[in-house]
Amino acid sequence: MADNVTKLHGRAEAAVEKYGDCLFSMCSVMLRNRDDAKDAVQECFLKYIQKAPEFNDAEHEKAWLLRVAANQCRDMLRSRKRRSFFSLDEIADEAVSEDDAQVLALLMTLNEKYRIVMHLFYVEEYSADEIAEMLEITRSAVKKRLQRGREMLRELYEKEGRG
Amino acid sequence: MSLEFEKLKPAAEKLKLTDAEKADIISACGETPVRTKKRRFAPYIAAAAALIVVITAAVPVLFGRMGNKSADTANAADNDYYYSADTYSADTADENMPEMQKEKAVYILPPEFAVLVPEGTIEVSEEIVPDEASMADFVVQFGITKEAFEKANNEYAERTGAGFDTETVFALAEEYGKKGE
Repeated sequence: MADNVTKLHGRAEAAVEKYGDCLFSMCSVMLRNRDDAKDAVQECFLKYIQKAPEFNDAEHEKAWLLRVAANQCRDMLRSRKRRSFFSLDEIADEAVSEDDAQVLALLMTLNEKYRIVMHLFYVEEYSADEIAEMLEITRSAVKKRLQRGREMLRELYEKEGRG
Repeated sequence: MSLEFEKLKPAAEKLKLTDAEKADIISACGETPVRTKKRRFAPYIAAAAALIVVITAAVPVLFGRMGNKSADTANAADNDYYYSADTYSADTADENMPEMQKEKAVYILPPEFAVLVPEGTIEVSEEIVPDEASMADFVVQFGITKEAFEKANNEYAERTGAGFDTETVFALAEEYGKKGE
């Protein structure tokens, strides 16, 4: 019994090292606030410990964590009031170039529905089918949100005088 | 210069946890009690699954219906069993998956739309600027008609100078509605 608990904590620690950054990146895009993103990631791993799910492979484990993170972000977005968001400077400090930072900052201005689909598609490189399964929406909804997200991002990009 | 969406990946991947933040999370995990109750049922579930498999395999044999089948068919039956075992394992994880949030969403919308639903149903803010997808959710959730929406949208457009694209809202609403059926 004690061995199992130790093993699970060890598994969680390995998962934090392996998936912590990718979950944090998604939560940052969703919540637009570093502290909130960290809290969301922490909640995911607490659920990981509490639920102790079984996984077929690493991809299954990652998809489970991303799905839990997406739910957690939704909950947090609903419950929180106005908060400070990542500034362009903060993103630029982290991003590779000013232009990349600008694109990411613009993504963060989109509605959460588009943010998450765009992130999973372009950053995590999941297919529309995989995203549909993960978010429990239809494939056509994913495609529509991708299309609309791209359009909005292009419009914003052009408005910023970069198009 | 056109927008390259591929730029999102390197930029987003730079958003990382610091080592100290990772250490905090790991430490919080270490203090979290592990749920073990569910595990007690695992052997019983596995035994029940095995019993079902044995019965499923045994019944056709008892009635002599497997006699004429080829070895390939018998292997296919075995494969089915292993497939079921894999599925069971996947289901175990999915069972632990938190349910997608089904509860009623809390909407914060411009005041022009509050008149479409009973008082106090939604939160109102003059500053909020929702997009068409959020409005589509609202339309589906409360069964708002296109006419009623357009009327409120016109008032909203008068105040803010820009309304929602009703066609987009209702196209999305139709899709969300179908998903909810």
